[in-house]
Amino acid sequence: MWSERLRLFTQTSIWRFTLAFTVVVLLICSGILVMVYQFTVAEQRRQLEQQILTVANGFQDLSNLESVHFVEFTQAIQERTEKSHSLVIALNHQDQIIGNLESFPDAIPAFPQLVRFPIAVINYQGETEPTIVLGTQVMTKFGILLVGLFDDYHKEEKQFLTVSGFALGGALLFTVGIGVIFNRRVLSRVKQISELVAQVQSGQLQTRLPLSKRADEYDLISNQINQMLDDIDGLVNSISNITDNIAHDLRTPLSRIRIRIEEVLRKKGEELGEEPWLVDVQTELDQVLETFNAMLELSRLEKSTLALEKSPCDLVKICQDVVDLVQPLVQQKLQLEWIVEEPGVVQGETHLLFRAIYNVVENAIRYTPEQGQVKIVLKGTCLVVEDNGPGIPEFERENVFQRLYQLDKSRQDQGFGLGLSIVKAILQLHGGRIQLEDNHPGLRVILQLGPID
Amino acid sequence: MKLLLIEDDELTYQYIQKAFQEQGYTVDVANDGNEGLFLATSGEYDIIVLDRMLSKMDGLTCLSALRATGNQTPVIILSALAHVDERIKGLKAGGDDYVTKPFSFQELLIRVELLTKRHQNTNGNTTKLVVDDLIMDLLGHKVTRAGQEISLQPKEFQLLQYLLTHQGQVVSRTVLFEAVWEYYFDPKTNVIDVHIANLRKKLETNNQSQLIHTVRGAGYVVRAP
Repeated sequence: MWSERLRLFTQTSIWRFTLAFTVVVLLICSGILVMVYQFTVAEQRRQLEQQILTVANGFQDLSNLESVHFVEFTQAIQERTEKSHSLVIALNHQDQIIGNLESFPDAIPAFPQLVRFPIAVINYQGETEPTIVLGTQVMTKFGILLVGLFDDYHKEEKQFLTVSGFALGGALLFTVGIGVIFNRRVLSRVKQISELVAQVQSGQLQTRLPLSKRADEYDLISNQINQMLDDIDGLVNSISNITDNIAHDLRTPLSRIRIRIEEVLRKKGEELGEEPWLVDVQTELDQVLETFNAMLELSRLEKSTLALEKSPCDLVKICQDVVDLVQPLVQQKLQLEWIVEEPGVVQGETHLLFRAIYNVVENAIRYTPEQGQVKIVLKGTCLVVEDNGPGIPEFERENVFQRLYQLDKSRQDQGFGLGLSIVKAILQLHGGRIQLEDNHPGLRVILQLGPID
Repeated sequence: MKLLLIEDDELTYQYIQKAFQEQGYTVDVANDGNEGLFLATSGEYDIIVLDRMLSKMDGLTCLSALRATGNQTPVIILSALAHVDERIKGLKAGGDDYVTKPFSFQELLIRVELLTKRHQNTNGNTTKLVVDDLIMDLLGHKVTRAGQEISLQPKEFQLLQYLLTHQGQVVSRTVLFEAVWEYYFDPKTNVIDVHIANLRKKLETNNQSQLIHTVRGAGYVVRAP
């Protein structure tokens, strides 16, 4: 569920746009930071380096003078260290160290290369604290001279990097956050549209998209979809009205014919005895009328305008009543199993629900061969009816919901007729649905009798 | 027995009128809602058959108006509208039964007779139903025939109870189904016949006389031989 939502979320165009935008923002930010770095920290660094090199150079020049002896040279070192506290100078004169360092560090590159190395400095409280020194060494006639300066900029550089890191992180969070918000907004609008389309697909042509006052691009699309739905709804209605009218108009004369036949049968029956052909005519006429009635009722059920007075319906009782009704049909022929795994209650119309369940159960019994098995399992608002009859091939499963569809055109029996179409319409009225599956062998009908919680 | 028929289709009312007259009913016909309401309020009818869709005044409006006057004459609604919600509307407006067009006269007759009889003896709080040597004890929930106890399934018990309560009257399959299962729709198959056949097997063993009789094209009736 969550991974699915995440996948959906990250697949959107706006999310891709957000990511691209984030990259651009991060690049620009980094560029600015690099420039700032160059102008501030790096510049100070260069100055520091220049200072060190100047000092080192100065001492080298000093040592190169003929007139300068060891004493003057060490004096100069002393003077410089006293003047500047951040200056580190050490002369390695015949393994004796002159200057303000106690020991001579190894591996210091020669002028003009510089290296950063740590030393311990005793502060005013008498505590030692590590300090980074940037230094180089030059050869003098008195020995190797090390010149260095406290590298405070090293700390600054660190701070700069931390601050930059925070700034970039903040920018990242900001853009992604904005992206998430936009994405959710857009997704919710798109979701509204796709949910509506799904509803329309499931037959609820009356559904319309809500329009906001902003009149934005989504409202434009919504409006167009709504208009399209109005048109489709109108067309469907006019078609179903035409069929309704045909059925209705044909029914009246057919009813009259039926009345006449009945009249003749009532009179002639007494005078002339049985008229078997007339009884047959009446029976067939009844079937035609029945089909008309079912068609009219179906189109009525499918038009969700039907105002049902719904009340809580106990599904266990309804199923039990269905089982009681079909019990004698089952008795010797096959085995009927009826299991309540979990009782269920739905808001609905008892008569219609009974009818839907009866249609499905009766179908299962009708198509199950002798000694077969029909199993009815109620699990909350979901009812599963399984049989081990011939089943319905997969490619036919959608078709059986069509009006008057027959599975095997050559078969002479009644087929599914309007039964399953009526079941589907009834379940749709209750916010449920019907699903057909393979029972290996046979058919498994899954009736969701109400909305899924 | 006086019957008022409120129906605007000429062929239909002529036929129903004739058929009821053959059954010994006195039949008055009203061709629209206004006239129907006027005649019905006179209160001299035992039963009213009312078409749902009428000119001038709709059947249901007519019925509600009639009930508003305090008139309690049983009313059967005849309707081309077969839907459950229509039926419920009809019964809510004060109808006692609802017959969907196209109907067979037999079915209408059965329902008219059931209603008129029901109207006459509704307050018979009997605890025992008897036909021939069959006794149904409603308190003890027991059925015996010639002293032999017969065990029945709950629905079989209800079926038999309904038939015994209306002994001598023809009861159709749909009437039985509606009374025992209390769902409004026609199961169409022979399922009620199978229930009755099972019930018969239990009641009429060992060459005992037949109690449940089939009336061809109409339904069933319980009668002592």
